[in-house]
Amino acid sequence: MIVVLRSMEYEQLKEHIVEADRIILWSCNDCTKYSNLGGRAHLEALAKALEKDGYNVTHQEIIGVGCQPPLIRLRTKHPATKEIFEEGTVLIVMACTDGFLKTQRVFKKMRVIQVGESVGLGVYSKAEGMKLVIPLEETGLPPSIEGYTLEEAAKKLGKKAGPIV
Amino acid sequence: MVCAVEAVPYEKIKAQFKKGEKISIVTCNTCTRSQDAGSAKLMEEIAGLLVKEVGVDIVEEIVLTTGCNADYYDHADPIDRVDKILCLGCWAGWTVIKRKFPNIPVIAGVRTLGIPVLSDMQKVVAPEGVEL
Repeated sequence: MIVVLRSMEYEQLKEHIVEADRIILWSCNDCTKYSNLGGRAHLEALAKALEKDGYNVTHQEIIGVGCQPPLIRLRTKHPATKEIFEEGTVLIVMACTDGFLKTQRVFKKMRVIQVGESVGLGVYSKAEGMKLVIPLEETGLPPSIEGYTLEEAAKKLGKKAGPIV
Repeated sequence: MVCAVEAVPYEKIKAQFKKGEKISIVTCNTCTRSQDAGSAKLMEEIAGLLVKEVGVDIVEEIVLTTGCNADYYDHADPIDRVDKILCLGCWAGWTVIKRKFPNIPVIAGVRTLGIPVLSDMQKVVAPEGVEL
């Protein structure tokens, strides 16, 4: 599984949007959910926070595996979502780096905002949550069979762990 | 979900085993299967060759939906009375087995290349002793 850490705080996210935007929230329901960044509950919490702050969230989209282009493109064609995505102005993406870039490539007319960032491969268990075991070379972290918790990894890498709100 | 992997050549895997050794084989059925480096079918093929050509005793074969979910491996209730374990999962899957059985040699039958990012690759760091 890909370990996805958060690259910005909620207040920083708000700097990328305006009240007139038609905002769509997007989350991968696989690695990013296991990384405690995405998933339905966190998407709903973000939608509530943004609406409370006066922003116009028009849709929340959960994608089973956010790095699969056919699944991303399906949203632009499916009758249930085609119009929604055509009318959106901002797409806030909670996915790994690959998932974000692939989403950005499909939704070229929208401003696509990256919230998550891949930092390596992880192991998940219900008891311990996601742990980073095989970091990306660029992080400078050594591999760990015990694994780094998301909080430890975030601290070492200058990023954030957990949901944005 | 998908990390990039490649199968370790069979001859390199074969060289890690000796006649009479009791071995367990574990395969991931997601990333490695989609890249022809794992799967139940491949596991059966390798097991058959190792029995025939080396004379190992295959005591257990496990297919995990995802090898990097430690709960799945626990749920499979793997036995610890083996000499070696062959892992046909990525290096994250390899750490799952190594963590559960630190005293049993875990042979990595799959090489992890990294995480694909569009047409590029973000390289990962190999744990000590994982590369054949």
